[in-house]
Amino acid sequence: MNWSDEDIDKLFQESAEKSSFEFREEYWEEFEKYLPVNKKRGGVVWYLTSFLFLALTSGMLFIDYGNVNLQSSSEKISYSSDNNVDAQVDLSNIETHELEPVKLTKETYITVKQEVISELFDKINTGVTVMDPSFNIVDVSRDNSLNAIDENNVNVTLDDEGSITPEVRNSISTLKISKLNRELDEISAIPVDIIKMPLAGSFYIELNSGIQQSRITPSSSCGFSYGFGAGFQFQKNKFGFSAGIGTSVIHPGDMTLSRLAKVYGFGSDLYQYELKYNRFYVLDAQLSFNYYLGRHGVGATFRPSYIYNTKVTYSSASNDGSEPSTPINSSFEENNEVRSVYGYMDGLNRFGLYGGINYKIKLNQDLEFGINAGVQFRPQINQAFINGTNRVLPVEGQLFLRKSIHLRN
Amino acid sequence: MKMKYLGLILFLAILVSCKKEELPVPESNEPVFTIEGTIGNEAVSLVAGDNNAYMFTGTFNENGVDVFSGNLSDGTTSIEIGFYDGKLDLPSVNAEEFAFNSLKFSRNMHDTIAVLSKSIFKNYQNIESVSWYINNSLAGYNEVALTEPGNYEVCAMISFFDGSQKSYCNNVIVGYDLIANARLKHSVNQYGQIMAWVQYLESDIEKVKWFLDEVLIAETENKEPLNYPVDSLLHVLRAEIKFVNGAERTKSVIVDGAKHFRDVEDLTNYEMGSYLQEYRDFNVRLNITKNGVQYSSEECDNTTSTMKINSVDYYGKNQNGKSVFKLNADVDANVKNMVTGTIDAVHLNINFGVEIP
Repeated sequence: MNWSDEDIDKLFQESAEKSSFEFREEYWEEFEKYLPVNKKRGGVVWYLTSFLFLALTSGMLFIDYGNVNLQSSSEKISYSSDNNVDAQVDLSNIETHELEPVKLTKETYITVKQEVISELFDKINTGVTVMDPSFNIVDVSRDNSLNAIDENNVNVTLDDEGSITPEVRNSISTLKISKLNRELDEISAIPVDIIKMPLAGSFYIELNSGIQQSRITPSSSCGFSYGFGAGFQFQKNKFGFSAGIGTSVIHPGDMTLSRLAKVYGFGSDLYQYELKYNRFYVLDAQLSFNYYLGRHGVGATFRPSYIYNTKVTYSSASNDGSEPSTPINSSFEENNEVRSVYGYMDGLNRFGLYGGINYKIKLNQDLEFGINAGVQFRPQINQAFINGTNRVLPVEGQLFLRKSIHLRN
Repeated sequence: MKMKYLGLILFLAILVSCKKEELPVPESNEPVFTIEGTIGNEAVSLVAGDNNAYMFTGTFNENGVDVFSGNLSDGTTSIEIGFYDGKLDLPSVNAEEFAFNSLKFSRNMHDTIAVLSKSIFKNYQNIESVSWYINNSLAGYNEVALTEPGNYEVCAMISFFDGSQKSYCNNVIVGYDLIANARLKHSVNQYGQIMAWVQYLESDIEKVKWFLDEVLIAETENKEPLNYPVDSLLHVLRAEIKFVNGAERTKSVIVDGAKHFRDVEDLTNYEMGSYLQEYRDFNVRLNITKNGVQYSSEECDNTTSTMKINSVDYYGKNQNGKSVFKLNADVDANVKNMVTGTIDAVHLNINFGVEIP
């Protein structure tokens, strides 16, 4: 059938006058039966859906919860057919669009200025790709018996010759399959439930471990750390930002402080003790900015930190300062004490600041793996207490594994 | 989801609430007890805790009087400062007596300040002899001279011409100010009853405990006299007197129940008749040992010398468990070289520890 411009105009005008369909819970329940259990994602699918996810979540910027509104600017649909019929369809204020089946060739496609919709429709020979409410790709085999349903649904139909007749649902950026009726070979699409958030965001939890240069010099030993954190991350276009808090345990390696104290009283007591810092317990804020190229992201990381606890091994010796029958000497008697304690903070600057660069790769939609490398800007050792000198900008490296937790309504 | 957050919060809370032990890491401090100054023309500096110097503190009892002492010594040089107790008839001394007052230096005159003599007794003509014991040591017969201020436990063994004997004891305080005193008076009537009363001298009486031969026989209040039957033997009547101003004294007399004029009064007369013009209450003394030579402030005139105490603070307990007070003072005094007899001027700034129980 050949479409004239007037026909197409009339079609959209009539559709615009009709009310939008009403979503019913039964649609979703029925559709769930047909969702595949195992979803294989090929490499191409992975990239496609990643980009789709970014695009769709970006589109959430412009969508209010529960309402389906058209953009104020008109959206045009153009398509061509074997008949070389070009039609410009104005989607403004049109709820549904019903197109009578047209014969389309492989070059036929439906495009809209809202580009995401075009991604839903592949070329005829590859069938139609749609997404379920979980944004998973659902492969819908092309079926020649698919027919249009009704005006309240977006139908994807195929005619006997393998052509595809799209009915475009206006103003939505994603489609949600509510019903798949094999018998009728119909696919109904309903507006997706819009998540009420301005940006594509999610919470995350993270595990990390790292190594670091000794805080003091000269020293050839390295410390290591491990910890976990949680926070929030969001992305706009190719830029991502994350903020969270975490805690970690640092094994400094070789941090030993020694002190000699002379305590005056009736006489004087000499105390010599050594403190070996075995562990630092740190709370830190994790701030990072990234630029994404597909799955790969690079950026900067900042971590203000606070040492809230330590474990030290404390050994001391003292002379006997009691009233002497012989003069007090400075040599230490057999009065050694060795034990481990928590909470000793002398000699430490409790606040720290780490800055560095990071690289991360998305293993899948929810999982990221990355590496940080940077330096501690703020010395964490009080110079007056250490055996040695504060190392300037000690280097730290860290590996992290981050899992995203998406919000649901 | 909520449980995950709650679990995370609980874990973090547990993490930060780990028990934190206090680490006994002592900090160096400044010296506590020091002496800086000059002795004669020589500079002297002692710091307790440096060069084997140590601050010794203690209380000595000299002639029945406590001397609260501190001695800073490094084995070669030692400087001892002692404070004599005062108001001996009060049960306890207040350390504030030393605070912010210019103290006087004590002086040993080596002169007789009191004489214990049988001739002072009213019935001396019936007394054959008196054996005087001072602080449980025989001091002499009939007449004993006291040359040092003190609080003496004086006991007299009295032998009468009729062959009878009786001993009794009294505290005799000479050279110290008494805030209260009294005489114990008595007589025996024809019915064989003791009438005894306390004749107060400087302060009203609150109450009196009466002992006859060390047996408590009565308690009276104020000036109420004692009436008590007695046989015809010699007895010792002792009165423990508590004055309204807090002072406490004990007086003893010998009571002749046979009325043969063998009564012997208490020894208050010796306290009242002391020759000493200056009391030693809260006086200070300075004893120095330097290179084996001793110097003493009590052996020379320190009438115009001063020891100005700038502060008195409680410091802590010494090894004997007694309280030690830290004094900061300026000392300008004279000391006598006990070898050569020369007098040297001493100018010291001291941070000194003194035991004051």
